[in-house]
Amino acid sequence: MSEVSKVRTFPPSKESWGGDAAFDGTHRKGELRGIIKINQDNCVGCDTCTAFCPTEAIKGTLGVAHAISTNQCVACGQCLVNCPFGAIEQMSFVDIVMEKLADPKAFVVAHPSPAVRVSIAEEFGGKPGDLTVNRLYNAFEKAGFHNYDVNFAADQTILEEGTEFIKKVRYWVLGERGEDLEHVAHHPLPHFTSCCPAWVKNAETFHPELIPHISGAKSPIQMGGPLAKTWAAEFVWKKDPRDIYMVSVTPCTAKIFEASRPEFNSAYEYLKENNKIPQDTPSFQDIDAVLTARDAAEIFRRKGINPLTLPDEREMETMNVYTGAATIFGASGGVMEAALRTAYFILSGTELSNPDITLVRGYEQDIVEATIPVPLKALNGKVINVKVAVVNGASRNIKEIVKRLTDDKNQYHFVEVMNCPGGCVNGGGQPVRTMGTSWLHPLLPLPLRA
Amino acid sequence: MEAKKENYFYAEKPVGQLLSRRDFLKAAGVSVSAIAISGYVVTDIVQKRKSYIALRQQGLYKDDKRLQKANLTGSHQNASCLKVYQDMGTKPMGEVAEQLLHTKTYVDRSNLLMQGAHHG
Ligand code: SF4
Ligand code: SF4
Ligand code: SF4
Repeated sequence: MSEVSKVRTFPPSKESWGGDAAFDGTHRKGELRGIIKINQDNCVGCDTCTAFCPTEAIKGTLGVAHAISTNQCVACGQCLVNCPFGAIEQMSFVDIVMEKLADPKAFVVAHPSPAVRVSIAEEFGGKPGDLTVNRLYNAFEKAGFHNYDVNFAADQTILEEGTEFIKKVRYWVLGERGEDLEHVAHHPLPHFTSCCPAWVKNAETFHPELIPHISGAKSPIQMGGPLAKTWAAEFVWKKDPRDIYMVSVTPCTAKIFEASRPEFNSAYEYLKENNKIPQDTPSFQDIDAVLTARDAAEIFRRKGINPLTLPDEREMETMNVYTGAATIFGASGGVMEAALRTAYFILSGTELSNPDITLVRGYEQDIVEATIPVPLKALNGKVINVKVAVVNGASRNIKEIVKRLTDDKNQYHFVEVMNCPGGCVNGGGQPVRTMGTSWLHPLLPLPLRA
Repeated sequence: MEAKKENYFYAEKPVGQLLSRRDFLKAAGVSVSAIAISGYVVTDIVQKRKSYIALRQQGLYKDDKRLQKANLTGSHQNASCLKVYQDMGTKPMGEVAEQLLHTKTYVDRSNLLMQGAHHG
């Protein structure tokens, strides 16, 4: 397993953001569509991709070129990383980001997700799982970026989402009432995570009844965007927020869609309200461009940079501080484990004696269930049992979890959903491993058989 | 793509060069055996992806261990996060935090799907 494959890409076109209509199919005005495309010339119609699609968005029968229904697609890229023929292509912002890097006025920030640090090495000859942290920061800096680690924003996500979950427990489990709990009165348990945009769009399209249950806390990247342009601009970088160009670097193709959601311009709204930018400033998104891990590697290659040859040392900077809880976001069960570490601390007043909650980690199981006893400081140590479930991959498991909740809606308090089996480490924007050709053997004409 | 440096070892998906759609059809035929072959491919991919998923996950848990040793285990121990709240004069789920870090917009797209389907 020493090789990765090239993935063909195409730049966004004007139509990619839609026309003037408020909505077109399942997409609102301004939302990117057609992020993942099957190349009709290269598709042989083997039908493999349909087994990996979470929303049955791929049409076509055996032997006929397949096509993706834009309305059903959640842009997760699972079809792309698993197509044995390399026939599926990704919308890419590499050229746009290269232009920004050449613009001396732009303050371009790289915002790398947890799972990129364990995959980027593969693009340069390393093994899956080779940990690349300081070398990655150094590579971004060499390429002209400033660094802001998404993991720092993931810690912020846990503080926000953990607080939200605790409020829900106080209202819905302990029966407390009060002004600070009014908001959660409309958001019953079970609490669903919100950090996977493919899952969010899946729920919005196919399970709208789950919407009130989805956390209102944004994903780490969508917390990082507004914090970069408000807090970091003022207190760390001392930059005009209008010059900051946020580039998230992700294992994920659905994040390309997420960044285009029209409501994700909250830095702009905040800055205008507080008179920190002129009132006539045109709206800008919190995240300006999204690169997949493969796209970032392409930028490094174009600039002649190999992260693996750079020094593995660097001073710790404010913008790159993060905890273990943040870094495990990239693995299935990680968001759950991270949230439990902090929720346990807040509710019980003590740290978990063993922070490795291995029972919620999703390795090979489709759905993981666990019960975590938490003693409550406020109630003299009375113990509540927090019941959790981790959905490891959407394609087979969403229907199952909905079925279980229909049977008994109280069987879980907290449900983590990751679209991609294994979590973001196996995302649609990760380096694609070549699968070899052994499975083809029985199909090949004799002269081609090795 | 030509490798620029010896470390950059890009490979085309080899299968595409071996077998075109016509060959695939000819070889597989649209038959029960072809369907069985597709099923085999999926099983094969699912088997193979396990190894790289596990390796990448192990990389993250290694990072976790490294940080736990530095007393950075849970998010509430991140000093930069606490600085954000201080500088912005807010707290988790405070007014400013709500405005910047939370969303109220989830869209019922099932309606859009139906409306879209009946348009023009
Ligand atoms: S897996 Fe690839 S080649 Fe096979 S049907 Fe899907 S897109 Fe076509
Ligand atoms: S990107 Fe995901 S949702 Fe879209 S067609 Fe591919 S597998 Fe299905
Ligand atoms: S699991 Fe991770 S990589 Fe996959 S779609 Fe969700 S956020 Fe993206």
